[in-house]
Amino acid sequence: MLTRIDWHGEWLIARWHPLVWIVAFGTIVLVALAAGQEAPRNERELFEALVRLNLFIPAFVLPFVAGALAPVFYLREVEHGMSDLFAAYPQTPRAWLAVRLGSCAALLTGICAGQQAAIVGMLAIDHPGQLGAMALQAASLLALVHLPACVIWACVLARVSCATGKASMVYLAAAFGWLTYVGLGTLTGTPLIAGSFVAWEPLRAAMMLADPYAITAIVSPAAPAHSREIVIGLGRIAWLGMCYLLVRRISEIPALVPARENASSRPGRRLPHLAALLSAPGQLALLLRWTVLDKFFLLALAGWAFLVFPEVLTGMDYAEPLAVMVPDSRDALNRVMWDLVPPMGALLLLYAADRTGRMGSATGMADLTAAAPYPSWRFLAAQLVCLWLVALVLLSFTMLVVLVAQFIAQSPAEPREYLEQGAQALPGLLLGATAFVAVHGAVRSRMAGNLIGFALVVLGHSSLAPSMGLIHPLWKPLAMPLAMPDHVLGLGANWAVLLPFALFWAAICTAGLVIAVRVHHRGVPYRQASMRKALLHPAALAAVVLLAGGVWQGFAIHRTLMGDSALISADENARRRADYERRYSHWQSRPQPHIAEVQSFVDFGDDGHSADLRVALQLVNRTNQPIERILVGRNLIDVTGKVAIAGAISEFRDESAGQTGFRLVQPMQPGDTRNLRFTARITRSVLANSESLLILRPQFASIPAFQVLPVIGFQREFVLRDPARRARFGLPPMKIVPPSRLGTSESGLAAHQARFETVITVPRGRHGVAPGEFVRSWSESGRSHFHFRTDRAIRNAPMFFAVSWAPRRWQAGALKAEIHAPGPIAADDPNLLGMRDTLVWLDREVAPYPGKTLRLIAAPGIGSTGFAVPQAMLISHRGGFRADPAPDAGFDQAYRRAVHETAHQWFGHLIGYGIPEERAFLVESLAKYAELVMVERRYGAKAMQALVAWEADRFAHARLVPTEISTPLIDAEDTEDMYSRATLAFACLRSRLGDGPIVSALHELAAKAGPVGRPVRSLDFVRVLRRASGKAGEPAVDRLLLGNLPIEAALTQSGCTMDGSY
Amino acid sequence: MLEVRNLGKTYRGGVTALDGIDLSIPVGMFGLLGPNGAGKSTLMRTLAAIQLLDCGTIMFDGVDVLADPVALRRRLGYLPQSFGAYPHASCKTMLRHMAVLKGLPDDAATVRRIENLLDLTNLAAHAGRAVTTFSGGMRQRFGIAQALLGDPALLILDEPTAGLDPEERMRLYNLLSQLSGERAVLLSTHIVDDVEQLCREVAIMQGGKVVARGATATLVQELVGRIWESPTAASPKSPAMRLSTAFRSGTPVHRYFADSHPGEPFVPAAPSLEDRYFLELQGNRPC
Repeated sequence: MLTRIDWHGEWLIARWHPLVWIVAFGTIVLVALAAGQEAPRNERELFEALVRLNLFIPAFVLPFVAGALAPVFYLREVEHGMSDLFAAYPQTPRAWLAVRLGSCAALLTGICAGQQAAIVGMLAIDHPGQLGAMALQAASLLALVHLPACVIWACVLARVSCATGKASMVYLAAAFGWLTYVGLGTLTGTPLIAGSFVAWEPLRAAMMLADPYAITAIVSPAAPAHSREIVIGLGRIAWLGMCYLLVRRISEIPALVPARENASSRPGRRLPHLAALLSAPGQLALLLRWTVLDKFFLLALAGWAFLVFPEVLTGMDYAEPLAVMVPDSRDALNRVMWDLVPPMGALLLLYAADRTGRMGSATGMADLTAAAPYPSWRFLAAQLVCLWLVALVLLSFTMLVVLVAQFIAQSPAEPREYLEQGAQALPGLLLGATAFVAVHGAVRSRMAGNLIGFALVVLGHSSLAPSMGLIHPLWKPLAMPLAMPDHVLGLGANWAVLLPFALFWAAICTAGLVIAVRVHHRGVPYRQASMRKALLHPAALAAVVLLAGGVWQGFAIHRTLMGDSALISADENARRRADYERRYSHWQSRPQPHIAEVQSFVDFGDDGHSADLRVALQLVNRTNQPIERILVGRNLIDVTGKVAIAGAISEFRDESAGQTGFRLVQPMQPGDTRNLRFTARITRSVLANSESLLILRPQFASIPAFQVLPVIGFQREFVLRDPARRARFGLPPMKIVPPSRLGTSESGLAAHQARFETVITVPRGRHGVAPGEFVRSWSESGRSHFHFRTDRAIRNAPMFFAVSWAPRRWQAGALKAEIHAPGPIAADDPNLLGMRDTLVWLDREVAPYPGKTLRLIAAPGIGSTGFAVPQAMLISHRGGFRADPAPDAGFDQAYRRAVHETAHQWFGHLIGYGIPEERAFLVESLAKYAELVMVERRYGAKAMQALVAWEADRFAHARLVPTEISTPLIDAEDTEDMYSRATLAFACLRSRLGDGPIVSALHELAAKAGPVGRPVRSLDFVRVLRRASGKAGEPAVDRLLLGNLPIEAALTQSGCTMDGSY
Repeated sequence: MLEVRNLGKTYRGGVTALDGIDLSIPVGMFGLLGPNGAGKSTLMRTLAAIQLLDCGTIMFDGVDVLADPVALRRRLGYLPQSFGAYPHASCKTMLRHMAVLKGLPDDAATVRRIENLLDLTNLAAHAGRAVTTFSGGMRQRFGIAQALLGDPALLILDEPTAGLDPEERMRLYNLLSQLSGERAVLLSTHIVDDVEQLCREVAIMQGGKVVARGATATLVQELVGRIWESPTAASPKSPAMRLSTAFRSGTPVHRYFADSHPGEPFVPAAPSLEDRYFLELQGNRPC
């Protein structure tokens, strides 16, 4: 009797199902790969990684596992035609439910446990001593998070299965559940999903209890009145109660459902008009009917609208946290077209391909249609056209939803933008459809066809391939590496990317389609053509020709990417650095000259994608020994160029490490100079989607010369620092002295400073920008020339630009502020205000600005929203020039950022360089201090407190695992420490000491660094600050900058709070 | 019309479904008999050109079917043992769709032909209903209608009367008899009586082989005077071979094969194709 089915029996059935093993091992490997990407450096980071990866399981893996496996437990009779047979057995729904639901939940939990074991195993490779503690933590997370989540999913999908009797509805429910959670996570600022931005605070408060995975409670500080554990426990109890109510209402097992449905179903009843439209007897019409009239498809479209509409409506004006902008069609479409449409469209097309490719077997018509004299190519052509139409429908529907959202938000719709973005997104979908048709046409097994298709989607639209070290974009099948267009670079470059990739994949897909036609199964489970016959057919030759064309095109893409140096993986880069250290570290002890002067001629090409560099570096021997040999090396960006030193001959050339050894004919005596000439042609295609500072586009070009020009001698900054990586590459452990224990530096800053003279030529209509004062500009041979020169030595970190915007100039005290940006710049523009306020304040209070002009350049998306080099700074056009403060922001992000980047002219380019270990506190943390002062002076204390509150929130979200001990602030290099914790610490110090002692300490430090002084240390700052703040202030300075108490405790003990209200 | 030589097919797992099948199927009704697993459906699918062979040749009116399956499919009407239907299409739309697949023009003549077929299969009143809502018998009649589309020269019918009531079954057989005058009709069924009444020729399959083949009358004729009937079973020592045991009005009737009278209480009985079928299944053949 079936009532006696036991767990063992269920397991016997499940273990024979290939899907169970595929899903289990596939997801375990996926999670292990994700764990392999983590490189925790200490115990805190290790346990943070453990928690983060554990939370990744329910948020991103479990819904798919549950969706895939639930039909095995709840719908196997329905799916295998045993409904009538099974329904006749004396099985009570309760007994059925107990066994099936229990088995499903147990298997899901077992898979989660396997994934946890993979995480612990991967993390334990570098931290074997923490294995026991990690296992214990994992066990508690299994009980607290995974087990309840598995039970919840098992119950929800049992209810869906019993209500619908269809596997497609189970898949839809799982996808819907996942999307809903991601949507909620986006609104509540779950760090795994949406950084720390909380769009709606009440929802986050509700999710503390209502989060089915307890992630909100785990990653957020507990409400003051309750402990985190109680909140999590209450949430679990509430969810399990809801699950009980959900399954209690199940009165019929799914085996009985199809009979009811079949008896009542009538064709065309629900959608008479559509049915009439599709009433033609042709194969295409039938396929369309089969696909479009499918309940799952229609629900998926509805779900798609449910996902897209709020995403666009609420997000199109999002510029950054606490900042909004006036959105246009590009902003609206960008919310979904580039990261949502490709993967979701591919998944929906895969489903549609399964429908169309397996229509015969699904309806039992396969034998009849297979025996018809209808050629295979026509079957596949009909499927292809059907899927292409579905792709078109999906894209049009998406754009319609975006348009409606724009209409409601009263945002102007631009038809051209819709057309262009649609046209760029469509080829990827069409090629995906073609590939899926080919796969389903060639592969007889439905499951194998779907698994191959799913693998293509996952590989193509996730970071799985790069995480396995496969960084070549062609490892991402059917993916077009298009960039989300911004308002600086626009959409134009995407066409140049689309064409080669679309050609490559079109050749591959068409070859696949040709092969599929030859071996098409015609819907029946029997082979239709022998391999020998298929290979001997002329079509095989066509497939080979297409494949060869694809390979040729792929090789062309590969060569272009190689030219862009875009195929160097992180591992390869690490190996190069390890080799560099092994082969050249002995040069550290050899005297080497310094760069004293840089004369550059930079010619930005008319094509917009190349630049010629002719640079003369004046080398000077500042040591007290003669120099006989000079090592000239490749910089961070691999640029192939020619290097020559006057009066020197090349001794060796190491191509792999990019090093050239020169022997001087006459040794350089102390004080002697030599000229090094460097010429290079830099080209960058648009194929590589890089976020590096090296951008060569017709609209905007920037050459970070400090990462391009050759370097002299061995560079300590280039070696591997991560202990695990050093060990992996056989390097000895590196002694890293934290700033709090750093001795005084013996070298002077002069080694890192140079004078610059630059001539930039650009196509007419564009403007060149380089460090130094503008000397003159002229036109010659249809090109514009711009001449710049520094009047003193400044930090040797030059950057050259070619932009489309003429400079606009303002006075800032005795200094000039220049802005290159599109559109009008008002006198109260926050960027301008931030620049001028900070220039005046720091020039007067801390140290004179080492120049006369500071330039601000509006930049496309470069990864960060701001970047500063000596005498110039890049500010994201989106965040800096299009954004306004959100209504509840309390302060202006654009102003804050302009202050921050301006402050780097002092904190970063006046002090904060010259000692490799000092790269955080003196640079970023002091710039955060400048933000506090400037925001308060310009907008008042309330605005300053809003800034502090925001940073406090960012800091709380960044820490998954509360710690007992913190790294001293001056040693900390984590983002949340450098920026957020530093803001909190300086806000407290300002409230305790006032700005006087701090500014005085900065003034003293800057004077020490001076134009040719010595590098200063964080400890110098602390020492001077302690002295300036007197006995009363010393404890707070020690506690906040040197202490290792958690920031909350350090603030409390200093009489401050986290929210900045002192 | 259809010549089959040395057909062989072994499935993965080692099950031999067809083992050197030789058949010649002329115009007229041809019956294919065999127990479950004998290879009948594999043979049917193979002849319908939807399953590949390991070896052998199939010639249809001089055309090599394996080299050019489409040539056969153009003249084929095929009714598989079981089939389904698309849910979003009426019976008539389905037939129009199948006609298109068979290469018939989607014109008024085809529509008329479909209407004729609907009349012929007694489905005219249900032409607007979805086939998925049909009863088993109606669905089978739909299958026959679609097989007759395009006036095929070869009809392959795998268990066509499954699910039909006696009246429908009779109606179908009458129809097939009419149609078989100018085409080959290959009929696979378990109902031996039907084959005996309808088919001029018959083949009996077992274990992937054709164990008997010939004119139905001849196969039966060979048993004349060698079939015996008794209400009781013969003793184990009897040379007579038991063919079947059935009940007639509640009384058991045992049928035996023996070259001579096996003794009391056996009485001579008129032979039937069923006797020949059972005899062949036991691996015996009349001399």
